[in-house]
Amino acid sequence: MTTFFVLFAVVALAPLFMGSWRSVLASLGAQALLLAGLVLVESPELDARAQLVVLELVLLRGIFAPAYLAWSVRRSPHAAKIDPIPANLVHWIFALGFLVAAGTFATRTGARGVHEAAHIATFASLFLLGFLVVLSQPTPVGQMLGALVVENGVLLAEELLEARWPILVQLGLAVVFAGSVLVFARFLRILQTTVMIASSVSGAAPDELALPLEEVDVL
Amino acid sequence: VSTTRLLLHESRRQALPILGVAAVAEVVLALALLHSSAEGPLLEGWLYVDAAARLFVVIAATVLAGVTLYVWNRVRVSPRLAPGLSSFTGYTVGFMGALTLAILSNHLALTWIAVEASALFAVPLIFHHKTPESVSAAWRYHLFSTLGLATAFLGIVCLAHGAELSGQEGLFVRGVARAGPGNVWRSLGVLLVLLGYGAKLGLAPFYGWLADAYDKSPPAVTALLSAVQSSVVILAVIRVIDAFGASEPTIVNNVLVGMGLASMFVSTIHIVTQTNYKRLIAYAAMTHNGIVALGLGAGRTAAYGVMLYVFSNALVKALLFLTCGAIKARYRTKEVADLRGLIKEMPVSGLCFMIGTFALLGFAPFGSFLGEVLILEGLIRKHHIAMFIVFSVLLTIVLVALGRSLFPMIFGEARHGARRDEPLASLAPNILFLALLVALGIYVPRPLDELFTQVAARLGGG
Repeated sequence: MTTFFVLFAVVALAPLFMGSWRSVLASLGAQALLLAGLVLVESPELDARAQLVVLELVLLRGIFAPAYLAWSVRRSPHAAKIDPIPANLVHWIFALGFLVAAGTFATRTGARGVHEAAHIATFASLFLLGFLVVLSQPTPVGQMLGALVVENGVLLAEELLEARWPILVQLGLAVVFAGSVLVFARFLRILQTTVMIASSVSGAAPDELALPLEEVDVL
Repeated sequence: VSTTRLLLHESRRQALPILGVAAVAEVVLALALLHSSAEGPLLEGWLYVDAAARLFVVIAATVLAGVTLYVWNRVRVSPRLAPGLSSFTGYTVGFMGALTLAILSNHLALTWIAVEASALFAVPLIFHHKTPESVSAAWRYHLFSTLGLATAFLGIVCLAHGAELSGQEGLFVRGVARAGPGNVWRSLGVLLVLLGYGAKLGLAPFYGWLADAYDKSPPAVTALLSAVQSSVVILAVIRVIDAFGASEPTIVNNVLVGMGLASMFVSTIHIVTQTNYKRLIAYAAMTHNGIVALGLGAGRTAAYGVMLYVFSNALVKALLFLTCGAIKARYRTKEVADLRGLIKEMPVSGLCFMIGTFALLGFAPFGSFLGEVLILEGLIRKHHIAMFIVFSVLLTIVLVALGRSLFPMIFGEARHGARRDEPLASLAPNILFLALLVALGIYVPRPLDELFTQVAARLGGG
């Protein structure tokens, strides 16, 4: 089990340090598929709750979300600039500091065995590094990737629970995650449109969204 | 069903009736809950009707009724607002449905799901008119919501893990309320949930989204966000205090007091420097959330005052933001300096703005005044003298700064000339909120008083 979490940590963290938006999205999908594998191993008698979790992990988080967001990001004007954790000394020191903090946290929670400590350290690392990505990214695409990394950290934390969520809660979680992905994708489309309008109306650079349009009547 | 229908099929003719039906349904639910004194679980314990649920459904129903009247009138006066009304109504119905579920939920994770769903429905409402500023504000709102609520959900996972380690199952509010002594996971869980919901409330240091979202949203949406969503998130915090306040008093008190005071401090600085009247009210709303957090954290003896304050301020914020919409529609500006003599040129809207401002500033006889006095009394009773002094100083600065900006706008020499008639239909929602606010200031009806007392008692005060 410890090997699993080491593998998970490599899959999750490596793209943050030396990847692009494509590798981060692929990593998010791979994490979900790995977790689905873990559920299948841990629940040989696949009850209704476990089936629902596996379906959500494979179809929604493993395939749909990364693929749909990749399709949306590809059309974004900011896509080429993404460097999840910028390769400079300040960001890497913060990132390494967060990794050390996550490890220290894992040892202080009274983890039952090495594998649980590895589990806690991995989700805490993802959670903290996701925030670092959000804070260090100036573009919506980069900030979205950070937010999704944070969400995957929480997803991994859920595996700490011995009993799965009730079906109603699991369904609700799947629905709001799907909603969140749709909202992110819609934003990417709208931001692209507003950047184009801003450029054509005011001649401003795409990053400057100060648009001198007269405000319309509002509800 | 209404939301899906409206979002899938653009149907302008059906949009307003559906919004009206949703408002009537919410009002009927509120009246039914008020009429029935029974307390207990519904749907196998997933929902629970208690005094807090009744109180917050009343808030939601009142604000939704007012907003529905406002939207109906705006579309009547400006027919070019009709395109997009279908999606606006669809998202509004979804937003209110999710928040009503959050109010009635008896499970911490279900409450979280409902609050998250309401935040997702709110995003397209904020950028309804798709101006670059509103899109940018909606993005900030969504990002802060996602991160704040992810933090809160991690807290809920920690609470569930802590419960498992203590040999308990489930996160039903009534279940965990009977839970025994805590462990590290429970402490961490309470901390993260409070921080996460604090971010959703716009408490410092996670307040970056609040002013932009309130300023750039359509006034109807701002009223819903500030009066209903904020109140429901406060209820979510109350549920956490209800369940874990006794076992984790230090964390609950320190986090809420810290965020409350920091929010008051930050919002005071912004209020002093602000020149946009809608943003001024937005920062005043942040001050209010800070006061509520402070009251919940430090003055559990002031729990009655906090409840009165939450209820009263929901009405104040709805009244003021909708009046801002009427003012903006006429003058096409949000700058305080461009407006003078509002009460002469728009007498009824000016009156609403004036009374709303008095209530916002915590003048007697409004509920906000009594609420603040009771919170201050709670601070003294608990011997939090330093906190009392800081609270009083910040509140005084806010009062002076808001008064200095808003009073000339209301009472100054009129600049724009002719007084303009305001049709009764356009004033109906404002008059509704105004009447309730004044009535509540003079006399708290017995059923409402009982609800405040019961919720306060549940929080350990009363």
